[in-house]
Amino acid sequence: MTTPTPHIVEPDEVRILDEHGCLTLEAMCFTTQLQPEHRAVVERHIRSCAVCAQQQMGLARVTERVRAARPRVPVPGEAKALARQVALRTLALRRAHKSKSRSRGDWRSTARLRALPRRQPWYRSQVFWAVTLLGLAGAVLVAVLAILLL
Amino acid sequence: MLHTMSETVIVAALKRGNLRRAVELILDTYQDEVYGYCASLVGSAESGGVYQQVLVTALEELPTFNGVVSIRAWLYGVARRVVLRFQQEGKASPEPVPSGPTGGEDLPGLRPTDVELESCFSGLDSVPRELLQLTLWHGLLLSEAAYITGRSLPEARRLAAEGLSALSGDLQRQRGAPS
Repeated sequence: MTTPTPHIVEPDEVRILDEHGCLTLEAMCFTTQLQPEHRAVVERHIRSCAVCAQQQMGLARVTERVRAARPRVPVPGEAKALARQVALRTLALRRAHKSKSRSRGDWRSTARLRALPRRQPWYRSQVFWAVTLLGLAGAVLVAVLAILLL
Repeated sequence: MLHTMSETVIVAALKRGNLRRAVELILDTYQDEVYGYCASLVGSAESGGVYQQVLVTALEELPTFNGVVSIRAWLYGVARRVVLRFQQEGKASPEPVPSGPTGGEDLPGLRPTDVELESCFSGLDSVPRELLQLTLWHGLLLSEAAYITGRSLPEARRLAAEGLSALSGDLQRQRGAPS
């Protein structure tokens, strides 16, 4: 995660002056949000051009009028409380799910690490079966010899 | 200033991995305005449910927040996406701009009080109108409004300026027209 910037850093390709040497519409509106060097050009031009100054003043008046007409939305207290409850419950559920899947994930990862041949139990080893077979063969041999001698 | 301070504290909590603290701070700081934004787009009847969905979506996406914009603008972006999804579920609208409250609802406090301005404002194209609402009503920077609406900054600036100019012209014409 990186530290947030107050606004997007993006090449600002704003055209300040038009072909007649007057301010463009883009430069007149939202002047305060222009880069400092662009803002300086706008301010310098406004001081010397009455037409642009008047037009910008008109736009500023409309901007203020729109701003003043902003609708105010009352947020009901119960809606706030409910939303908060939902958010915190979701967070708790998410955390529980995450810890569960994390423990499952750990098991899986250790199993992956243990993908080497595992040690078999002693009764499954080849030596065990060899000894057992030899013992059985010996017992059979002893039994046969005993029968023959008797 | 207050927002900047809150942003710093929220980001610090996120960096520490303290998601609960970050969420609490987000709720304390931005709850009212994001709720208001949702209500202005879907109407008061639906705003509660939509806002809850916005919170759930924001919680899911919060760990991937990359700091390209402020938390505030990011929340507005999430809210806008949720509202769009909500509106598209209700009606198949190919237009990727959230429309206003539907059904001619009478929503106290949701409409501008300036009747003359309201009629001119509603006559604007949807994109410039949305950009102007985000910047002038919700106090977002133009670059943030551009991010939220998925446009480049020069394009957003041009559209907002044209919208403002059109609005100014319409208001002048209305004033000049015989009543």
